Amino acid sequence: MNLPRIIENIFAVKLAYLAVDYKGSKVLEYTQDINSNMSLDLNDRDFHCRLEFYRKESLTDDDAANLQGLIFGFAEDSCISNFSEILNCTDILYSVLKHDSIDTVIYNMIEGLLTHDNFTKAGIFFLNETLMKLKGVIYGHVASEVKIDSFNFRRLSIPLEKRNHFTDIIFFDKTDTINTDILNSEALSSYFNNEVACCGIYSSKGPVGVILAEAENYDSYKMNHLRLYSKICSVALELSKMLKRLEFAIQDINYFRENLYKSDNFAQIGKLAATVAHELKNPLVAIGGFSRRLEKFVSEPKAQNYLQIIYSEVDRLEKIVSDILHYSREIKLNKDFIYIHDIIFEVVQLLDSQMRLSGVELKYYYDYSFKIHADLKRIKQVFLNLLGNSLDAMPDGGIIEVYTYSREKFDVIEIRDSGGGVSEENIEKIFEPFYTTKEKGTGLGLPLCRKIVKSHGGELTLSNSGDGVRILLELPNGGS
Amino acid sequence: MKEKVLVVDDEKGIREYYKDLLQENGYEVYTAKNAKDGLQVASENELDLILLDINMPDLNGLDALKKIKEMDARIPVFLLTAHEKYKRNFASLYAEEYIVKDKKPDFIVRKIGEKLRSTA
Repeated sequence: MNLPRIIENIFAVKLAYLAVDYKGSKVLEYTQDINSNMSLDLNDRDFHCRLEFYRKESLTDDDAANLQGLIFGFAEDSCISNFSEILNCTDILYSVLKHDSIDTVIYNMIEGLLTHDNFTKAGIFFLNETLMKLKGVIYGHVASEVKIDSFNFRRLSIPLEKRNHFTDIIFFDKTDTINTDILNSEALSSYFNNEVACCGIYSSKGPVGVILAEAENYDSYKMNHLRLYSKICSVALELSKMLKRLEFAIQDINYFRENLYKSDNFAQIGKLAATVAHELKNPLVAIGGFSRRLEKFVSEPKAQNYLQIIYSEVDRLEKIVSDILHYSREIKLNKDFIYIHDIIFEVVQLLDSQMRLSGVELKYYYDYSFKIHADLKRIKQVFLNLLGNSLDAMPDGGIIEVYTYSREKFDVIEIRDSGGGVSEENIEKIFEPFYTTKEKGTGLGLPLCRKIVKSHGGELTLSNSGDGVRILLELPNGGS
Repeated sequence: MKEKVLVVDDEKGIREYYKDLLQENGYEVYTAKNAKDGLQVASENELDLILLDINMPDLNGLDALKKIKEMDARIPVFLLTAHEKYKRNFASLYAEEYIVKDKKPDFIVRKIGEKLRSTA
């Protein structure tokens, strides 16, 4: 980045200002505190350049043309080197995806900062909010060559005690140079020269650290370079953290699936929920009741308003409590001898349109006089659920077959479908509450069916058979 | 003239509580349910103090604090935090005070009063 010096030497000028824009964004900016007596604006395709300088005699047309060639040739080169920077940054992000360790990622980033003849030393520091310190390491050059094993590796800390220019850079997300004295660290002051550039590293929640980088001199190009790498570092760190978190979350979910949905746990949780719900009921009634009575004693609108909030919250809690109690209550049955065909007929009426739409055919293989001993309302609920499941499994048509027969003291109803069956891993869990393979299922259908059948003294089982599912519903025959 | 205080918190209960408390103590109170609305209110009114929850879903409080301080570094900002353990924070360098939400009402009112008297 010695363009200003080259211009000064070749064209015998003293530069006060030099700026090159590419498509409106600044590629280069240089200022020097001298008085200028001339200025020049140059344009070439997407490049624009402004110079302010001091020269005894004015430039010839040839000089101007040469100057233009030099500056834009240089600018094009720097665009190419910018492109290679971007590629380098992309590689850093990509290495995060490949699960490279975060140390490797940081190392590659520092290397990117140091190898392009911009910065000679760099450091990366991470924020420890409990200690209110930045802790980190510094890396440096040996014989102007960057070597992995010659990196100067130290554990250092920067105390954060009060607001200053350095904390401002981090807090307000700026890129700027600081005097190293401000860091309050002897090690850093002796390692770096007086002036060092810095830029913060951030997560989505705020600052997490800072990068320090030292060069012989600082210009906008170097500052942009540092900023680019700081942002890449921010994204890389956050990405790596998120990937790790995602991995853990998936592990947790799998553990939860495998362990919590076992029936023992559920029965216990259900019992606990019912007990808690029951215990909550009385205090809730008291709170609701007393706050209603209180309404008569207070006239202030604000207090009335607060009471309304209390009522509505109590109502909400009462609803939650009654839902829990409803689910865990014992099922009371009203048993009778009923024709199986009456039940099937009624259920099919309810499912008629769905059956027609998906082209499912229902075949009965039973005696119309076959009776079961059951609670009509409840057992209808069971059939509605079972046939509904079969229909859901056959959106493109199929056959449902219903058989009935007697086995010892049990009446057996067998339902077979051609919906492809259930995978072996799911067949174990299919009767667990809240376990569902359907997108919109609640996971309570089959558990409730089994609960109803069991309350009849019967058994509900499901297995794969042929190209579908075979359900056996066994009910005690009631001594008929 | 009444001094103007803005309360920014995503929880309605907390907003209402602070609003009540501060109105009773003679302040003019504005509320905002998120950091974005809070910044809007802050840009439209000459506020004397801002109470800012640091844990909100949209912009987090830290970002909001940064924007407020960029807008006008002189407005004192008290950060609201749910728990004592979140008190030590990089942002504490930039906030005038940290208030743990369940502190007693008198304490909060006293702190606000002290701050406003010291800047007046």
